This record gives sequence, structure tokens and C-alpha cells, in this order.
Amino acid sequence: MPRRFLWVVAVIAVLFMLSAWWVLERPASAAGRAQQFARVNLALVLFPLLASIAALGAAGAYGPKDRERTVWLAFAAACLAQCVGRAVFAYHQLRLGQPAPFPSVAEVFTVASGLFVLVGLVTELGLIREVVHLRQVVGLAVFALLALLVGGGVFLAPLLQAGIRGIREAVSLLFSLAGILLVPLALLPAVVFRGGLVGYAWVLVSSAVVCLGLWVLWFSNAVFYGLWFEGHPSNVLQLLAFALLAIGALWSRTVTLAEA
Amino acid sequence: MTVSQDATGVELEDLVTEGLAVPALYRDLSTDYTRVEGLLAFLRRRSFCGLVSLRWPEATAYLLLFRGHPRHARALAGETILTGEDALAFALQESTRPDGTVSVHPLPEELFPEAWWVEEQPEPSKTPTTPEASLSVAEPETAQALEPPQAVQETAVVPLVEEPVVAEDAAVWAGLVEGLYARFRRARGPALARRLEEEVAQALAGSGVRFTDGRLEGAMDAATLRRAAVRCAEAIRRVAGEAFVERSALSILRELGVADPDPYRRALTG
Repeated sequence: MPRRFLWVVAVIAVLFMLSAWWVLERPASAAGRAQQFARVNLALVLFPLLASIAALGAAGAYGPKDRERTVWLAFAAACLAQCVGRAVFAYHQLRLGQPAPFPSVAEVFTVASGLFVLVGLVTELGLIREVVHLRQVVGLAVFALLALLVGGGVFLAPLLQAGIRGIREAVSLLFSLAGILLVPLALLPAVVFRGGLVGYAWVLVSSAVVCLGLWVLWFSNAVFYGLWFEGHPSNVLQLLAFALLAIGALWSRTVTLAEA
Repeated sequence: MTVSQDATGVELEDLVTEGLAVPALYRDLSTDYTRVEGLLAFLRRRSFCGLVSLRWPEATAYLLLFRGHPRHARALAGETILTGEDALAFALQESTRPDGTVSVHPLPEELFPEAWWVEEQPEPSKTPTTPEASLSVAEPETAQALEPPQAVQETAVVPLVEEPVVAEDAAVWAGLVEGLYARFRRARGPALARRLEEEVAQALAGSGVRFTDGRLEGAMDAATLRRAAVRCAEAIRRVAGEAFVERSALSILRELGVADPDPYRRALTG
């Protein structure tokens, strides 16, 4: 395994642990909480940016006409959109001194991020569709259904029982469903590439999407109950998702260049 | 073959042991489809330094090549140990048997006896760029050009076998097919590799050459292998992209010691 890759992974791991600590700490003073908000916001902007740079690196390992390049460019765009969205949140929080309204202009970037991820996954599935077996599709469809039932039962039941009262709940529900549905799409390349070195990159990407799916469910639930705040534990999942995506992209670049 | 008097037997045996420990450039090629004379001529053209090991169920032979020329040979057949020209003759004679394997291990020139460095070596010939048309027609001539081991014994400083242009090109195309497949399988996994194997097998259909578990088997000619390599590259390009094919091909051609990779690259990239 290339030493440079291990070093970068070590740096990302340290950054992640530090950021997770920032999220999970519970300062008693108002000044301490303000500092925590600043640090958490910084981490939530930094990690998607890191993932975006790593995805650009992964795209760079492919030629201009290669479809894999499109896949990683789409992921890079998704991470960048997320980064900008989080920067808008941070601007509200740190500059204007008040939490960003939900939904806000930041949600446009979050939606864009989801769409870019979808573009990347669909492009990848286009590359491997010839070798996808029906049983794999059925297995993942069952998995998606179970995820929907479990995720919905645990996190979305209160939203669904209370009914959609406004745009806030509607957007939460939309994000949650999108998050759940992206998971099986992201798992499929990992299943197809199983046993190959690129497969590990897709295991990491799939894990990242699972984390994002869980995060968005938890987020929606917390928003519904009015429990959301900067430093909510679910932010750790969000950070972990982008850390995994960054490592997956780096691994993809490493093996694509080394194995050829 | 001339074995330098300056090099002690122990020193050369150490070199053989060291060579066997080095990862093989080509490993366990079956003598069923590998012409050892052609392989040696191929290595001679590339001024190869290293070890060629041949194994049969009841015998082994080792050839140390310095700047492309066999400088030390040892063979063990049953309880008989042969060295020098006898060993080389034995290896070449037995290499026509289909139940053997041949491996090639590169060794740095610096490890060889210093006395060999200063001895005058014939200039390695340049790699000819063989037009494709010649590839498929010259096979019978290649067979005729094989010299019996006795002729080799009489030769002082090598020319083991002349002319294996056809065998050389076929070896490169075979190396490309197997190398591309191996790299693709390692990177993208066995599921996609199985699909690739099917595509290569389709390209080889009717030629008598089989492609199973990433290995080519059967009597091969360069044109067939070229077709298979092109098909293999196309299939990989669809999934892993042009850049992967380009880099892999260059890397394989470098490993094979091909001096001018452009004709092969052009054929692969269309």
C-alpha cells in the first residue's frame, strides 16, 4: 500500500477524530458554545471540501473521455455543493449571529449535492450494467425496502403520523427518502467490483452514502422535534461520510494509477 | 556458450539462488505453447540479464543470461548433473516437451561477475518492427529455423537461434492479453474479469487457442493474439477507461522489454 496514501488517511483520521470531539463536546458556558459552533461549522465546510479535492484527484486518474472521470467529477461537484451549502449555514450562524432558517438557500446546494451524487451513481451503473445480475438487483431492492421500513419506522414515523404541516417537514421528508434510496444505488458498484481493488473504493463510497442517509434521517427527526442544533451528534455521521468519501476517492486514484 | 573461468561455481550457484528469489518476469509458461529458443532469442535482443529456469516433472535446468547471452547453465536430470554446454543442450532438447514450464527472473547486471562486464559482447540487434502481414505467414519457417542442440554446442558465443520475429511478436501479444487481463482482474474484481474472459475467448474462437483463468493455451500465432489483445483492450476501455488501458499496455510492454512499444499501442488504441 503506497505510503503517501497511508499518510493522507492518517491525517484525515486525525482531523475526523478532532472534529468529532468538537461536535460531541458539551461546553457549559455561552462563550464555549459559540466556539464550538464555529469549530463545528468549520469542520462541516472543511470535510466536504476535502472530499471534493480527493474526488477531483480520482477523476484525474482517468482520461478525458473515460466515463469514470464523469463519475468522480460528479462526486466532486456534489461535495463542493455540500461545502457551499454548509458555508451558507456557517455564514448565518457566525456572521449574522442566528441559525439559518430551514429551508434556506443552503438547501438548494444540498439538493444539488444529492443530484450530483445521483448523476455519479447512475453513470457508474451505466458502466457496469452488463455484469449486474438480477439477483443482485433484487437483493438491493429488498435492502432498500428494509432500509425504508426501518429508517422510516425509527426516524420518519412521527413526521408521517403528524402529516406534512409545512415546507419544513416536506423538505425533511424529501431529503430522508432521497438519502435512503441512494444507498442501494451506491452499494451496487461495491457488489460488482467485489474482490477487486477498486471495489474497496466503492465500499467506502457506499459507506459514505449510508452515513449520509442515516444522517439525513436523524436530522429530519431532530428538526421535527425541534431538537436540532449546531453540534447535534448526527453531525458526526455527516463528517464521517465525507471522510470516507475522501478516502475512497484517494484509494480509487491510488489503485487506478498503480494497477495500470 | 562460454562460461567464464573467473566466476566460481559457488558464485554462479549463489546467483541462481538469488535469481529464483526474484519475482518472475514471466512465470511458469508452459513449454506446450512457449518456444524456449524463441524466448532466448527474444531475451538476447533485449540484452537481458537474469535467470531462465526450466522445470519438467523429473528434471530442472537453469540458465544464467548476461546481456542476453547464456553464460552459465546447470541441469539436473534424475541423479545426473550437467553443466555448461551439456546443460544448455539438454535444456533446449527437453524444451520441446509439452510438460515443462519456463520462468524468467531478471537480475541486475551488477550482481554478475565483474569479469563478464569487460568481456566484449556482440551488439544486441535492434527490434524489428514487423509488419502484421508477416506475422501469420512465417510460422512454418520459424519451425524450420530451430537449430538442434548440437549446433548450439558448437557455437562459441551464443547465437542460439536466429529469426524468431514471429515468436517474439506472438509473445508480446500474448503478454499483453494476459497482462491486461491480470491488471483488470486485480483492479475491478473477478465478476468483471469473467466477462472479459468471455470476450477474449470469443475473439479466439476457432483459432484453437483457449483463454482460461487468464492464461492462454494452445498453438498461437501473432495475428490471432493481436486480435484477442485488441478485443481485450476494447472491453477494458468500456469499464476502466482509455487511460487505464494506455498505462497498463505501456507498463506491460516495458516489462516485456519491448524497445518500440508504439506499434503495439497504436494497434490497441485503434
